[in-house]
Amino acid sequence: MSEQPLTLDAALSEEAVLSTYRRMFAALARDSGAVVDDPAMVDIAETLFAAFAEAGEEWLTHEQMRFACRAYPSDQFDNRLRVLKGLGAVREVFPKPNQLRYRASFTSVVGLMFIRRMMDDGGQSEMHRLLALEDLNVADPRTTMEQARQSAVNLARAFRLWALELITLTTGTIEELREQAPKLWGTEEIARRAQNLHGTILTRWPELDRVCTDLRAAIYAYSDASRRAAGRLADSAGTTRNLTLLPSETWRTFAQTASKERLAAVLDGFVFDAPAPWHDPAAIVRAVDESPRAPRPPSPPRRAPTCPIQAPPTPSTARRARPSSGWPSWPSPRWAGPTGWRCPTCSPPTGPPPAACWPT
Amino acid sequence: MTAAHAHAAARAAGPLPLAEGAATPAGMVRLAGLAVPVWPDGVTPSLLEEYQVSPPPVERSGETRRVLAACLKCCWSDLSADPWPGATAPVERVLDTYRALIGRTDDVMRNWAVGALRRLHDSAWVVMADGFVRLGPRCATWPVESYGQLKELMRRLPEPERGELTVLRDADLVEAAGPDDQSLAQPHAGRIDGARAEFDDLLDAFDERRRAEVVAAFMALEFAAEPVQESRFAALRDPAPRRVLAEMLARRGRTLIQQRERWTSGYDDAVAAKTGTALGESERAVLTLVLIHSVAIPRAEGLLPEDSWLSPHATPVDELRRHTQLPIGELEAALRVLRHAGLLAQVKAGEEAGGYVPGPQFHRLTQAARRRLQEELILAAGPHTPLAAAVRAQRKTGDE
Repeated sequence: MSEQPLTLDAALSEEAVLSTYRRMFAALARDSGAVVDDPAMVDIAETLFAAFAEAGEEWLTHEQMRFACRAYPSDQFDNRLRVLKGLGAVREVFPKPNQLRYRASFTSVVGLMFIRRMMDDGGQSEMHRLLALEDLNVADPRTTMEQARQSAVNLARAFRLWALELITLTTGTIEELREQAPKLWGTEEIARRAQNLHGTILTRWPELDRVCTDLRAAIYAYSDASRRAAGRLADSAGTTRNLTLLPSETWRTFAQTASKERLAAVLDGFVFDAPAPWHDPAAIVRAVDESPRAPRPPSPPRRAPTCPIQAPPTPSTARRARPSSGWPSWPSPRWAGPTGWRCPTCSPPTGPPPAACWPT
Repeated sequence: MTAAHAHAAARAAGPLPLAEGAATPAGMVRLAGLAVPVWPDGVTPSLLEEYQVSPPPVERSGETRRVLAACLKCCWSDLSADPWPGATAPVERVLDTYRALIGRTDDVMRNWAVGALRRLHDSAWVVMADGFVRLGPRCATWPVESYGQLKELMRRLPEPERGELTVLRDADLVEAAGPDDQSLAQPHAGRIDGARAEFDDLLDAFDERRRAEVVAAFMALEFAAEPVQESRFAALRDPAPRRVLAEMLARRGRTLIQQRERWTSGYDDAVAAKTGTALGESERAVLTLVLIHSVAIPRAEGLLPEDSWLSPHATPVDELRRHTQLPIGELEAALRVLRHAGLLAQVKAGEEAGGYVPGPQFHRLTQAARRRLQEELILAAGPHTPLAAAVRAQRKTGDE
């Protein structure tokens, strides 16, 4: 889309986005090349769905869709529209030949929201939602033991895979760990919810003891892997790099909601210098001399100027230097004195004093 | 209290109160009931100018120094004696003198002068209480050779225009009416001539030129605004004198801090642990907010590549005013204190209000202090994250 050259950072960032897409849709893809190879493709879909949401009951024509996506090259737009139509995300308003108006699928929009959330937090919020839903499900009197077993097995599998990925990262390079771990490691809240769910299943269906043991082990393994990953990062990071590992929203929330006491507690025990500027006597004298109405320092006794070049003549000195007649009054620059006048210092043989002697 | 702790406490909180009969710590002079640090070989921070090293910027320096000159004019009543301790003078008389000096009588001038007096009071150049001013103990640290220059200045400073209207113009009356407050009680006497040669055992091994180089490097480490280049100071380049510098600093509760090829000094971690913070609660809270907005958030967003507590990303004043739990009055007062101490630097942003970034003092944090600051922020902002759990676990292991 952009004509600017792709920088290394931008390429890395795009690759990170694409790898998340690939992992998310690996289970559904027909072959390994079935996921987009340019993040802009997803942006086109998002722009299209936004345009559909704005369009109302009339939906959109092909031209209106193209107009909405005018920022993207037409070959990219055509490609995306073909795929979206092929998979049913964009369909004709009424199925008949030469249909001109199209509508968007609600399922695809929700799917896109899900994709964005997965991109943002690596699935942690999804895990929260999943655990909350499963908690409701197992508390529902209509839920059967088989459904509960399936739920526990699925959760145990998810936690185990999650833990394994974290363990692998923990033993890998620190750069990869720093990039990936914060999206994978769980908060105490996730572990607590999972343990609550485990407790509910075990209390209601004691026969599921074995499945619950597996789930408990998976939760513990996940918590342990999270701590190990965080511990390695805390060990290896410099003196500010770990700040990267909390999302900026966490920092903002803390700054906006924390009380004065909580904020101040961060710097408890840190020692800083008291203000101690140095005011040198010479600097004080200079500051006074530079003040708007500075008292003038006493000047040394002045000698009578010997030459107008060295000390420009004042009217009084000029008057003293003036010959008896034929001179214009100061401060006239026109010098038309009689020939024969001699400056006592520079002593021009004839004519008026040099121009530099003239008053300005 | 050891000399190292005494120096650290004086640097963190200003001149150190000394009990009657208590020994004066090495490297300090007793001025009435206060111990004030002095510098080796009689040098002063003005030495930095010779090496073209910048000291920390003084806020409104011209105005502050003119107000100090006005204080001197009013308090140094006997020019045949040393300026400190001088006499007590009413604040109004100092303001009148300042007014006569700059030739302005408006309210803005008065507010600026009062602000300058407050800054001078905070940094112990004057002592101000109950409407009276006297010279602070730092005035006793001026070298005796500079007194002539100051006396000359006093002679040509104008008398206050309202001088005859000042109710308490008679020095005796002022003395008699002076407050009972101990802070304004006349100190007995004292000047820095009697300072003990604190580092002589370390410096005597050097010839005169090398000794001067070591002292200059010591002053640059302790008083320059930024870390100094190793290449600028022979005593920093050479490992042997650098070791002497480290020992000199250690005697004052300080330690060498290296940043690639630049050096500065900071509080030794063990000494700092015993010294404790001297900053007020509001000041610490505001400083934390600036660290979050200028360092933590840009770091989390990948905008701050350097592993440093300094940052070019200013915290907007509006963000602090509108989106925090701090009352505006406390916030403004805390910002003033932090700015004056060099803990925050103000960034102007054209027509807008601008903002604040962490100040040059953050160069002076040791590696351990910088790491602890990071951990404290994580523990405060994300106490339930695995990262916080890891920090707690590490500290527990360290304690055991």
